[in-house]
Amino acid sequence: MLTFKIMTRQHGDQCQNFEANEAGLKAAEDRFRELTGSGFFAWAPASEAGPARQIRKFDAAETNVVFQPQLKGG
Amino acid sequence: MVIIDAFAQVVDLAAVRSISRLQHWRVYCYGFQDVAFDDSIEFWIDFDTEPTFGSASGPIAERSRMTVHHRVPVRSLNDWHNGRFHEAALRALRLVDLQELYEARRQVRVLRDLEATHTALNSRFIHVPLLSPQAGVVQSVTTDELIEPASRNMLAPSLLHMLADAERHFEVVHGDLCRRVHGLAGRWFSASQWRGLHNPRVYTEQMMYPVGYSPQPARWDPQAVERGWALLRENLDPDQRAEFEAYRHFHCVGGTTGIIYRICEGTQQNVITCDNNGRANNGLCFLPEGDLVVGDVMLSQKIALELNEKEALRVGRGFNPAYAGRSAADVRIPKERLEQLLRAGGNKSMTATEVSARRREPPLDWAGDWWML
Repeated sequence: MLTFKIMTRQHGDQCQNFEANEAGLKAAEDRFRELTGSGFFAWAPASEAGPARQIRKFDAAETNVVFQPQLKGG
Repeated sequence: MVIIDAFAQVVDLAAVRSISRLQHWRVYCYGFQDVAFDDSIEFWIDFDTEPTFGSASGPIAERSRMTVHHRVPVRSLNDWHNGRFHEAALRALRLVDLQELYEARRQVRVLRDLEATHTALNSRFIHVPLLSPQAGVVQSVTTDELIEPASRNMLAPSLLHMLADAERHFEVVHGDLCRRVHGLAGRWFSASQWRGLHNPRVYTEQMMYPVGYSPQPARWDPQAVERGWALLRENLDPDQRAEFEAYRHFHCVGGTTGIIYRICEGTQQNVITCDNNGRANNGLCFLPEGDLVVGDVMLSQKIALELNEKEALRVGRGFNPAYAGRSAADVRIPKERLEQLLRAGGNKSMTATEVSARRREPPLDWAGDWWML
């Protein structure tokens, strides 16, 4: 099971789950590309494997990914 | 012209009284940019003079609320960013002023109640018919016959004088506060330096809360806000979480430069750089696009600084934290925590000079307020 947490306007983070089968992974990869292509910054939260890290390419091993919108100056 | 009711400053005395020992106010700025250049904004400040907020004192409509309206064109909102608003607001809306206003209103109310009671007492005796056993007729008994003239003469004039004095005092206090607010708004929005800006950023919501008390703006779904806080806490390390729970801000180390950043509670002008002595240095204003809830914004800022600091430095705009109403600007990092942060940032290679060189500087021909860049 892959979980994408997407920070969206005024609604907090929205979870999107994908099954760990072929179709689910394909859908997750498409969604990943769609979000990162539109400027979202993908990162994996800190875990036992290590601290938080940026995810540049889709990796099915990353079961928990957070997407945050691109930055702007305040 | 579109009137945008965007400024609401509600001073909640209940919250203020509960934390009045702090004697500080915190200003939160929330912004959105879809406001046309020629729009106007109606701005108001409500002074809620009741000690409780919509509970024991009854519904809001019955509470005494004094409002000062001020309508300003959007094009003159440049001072908003300058942080002078905060200084001016602190001067104009000090806690003692509001308490004085509340006391003045309370005295008027007490005396009016007394006067009403007195009047009712007189009325009752004036209009109650009595049966005279001697004459066998009904007659009206006047106040003069039932109330001792001496006590009435003493009570009524002194009460009326006190009421008049209290009303006069209240008018003076309220008028003074209103004049100061109008003058304040005039100073904020007087200078028109928006010329030359093709896409002016307009920050049109201002909410003023006491320190430690931050009700959520109504435009955010409370559940979304809670999810944002939960996600933030989930992704803070234990030290950051402890800092955040204690001070409503936490520190993180820039992933590229090793600079210590303080992320305060808020969505704008809430990131402050700290020097190696743990003192606040400069502000860096950046945030994720979209109208994210506070927790998400703070988490995005933390992640951006730790994982994508170059981008944050590229898009961020400097500001003076002292002028931005950040009380956290005065806080110094505790020694142990500072050493921990310095150790964490010790292996970063970028110098402060390189950092400042990467920051976007205003163009040389910029005629407006360069701090808006």
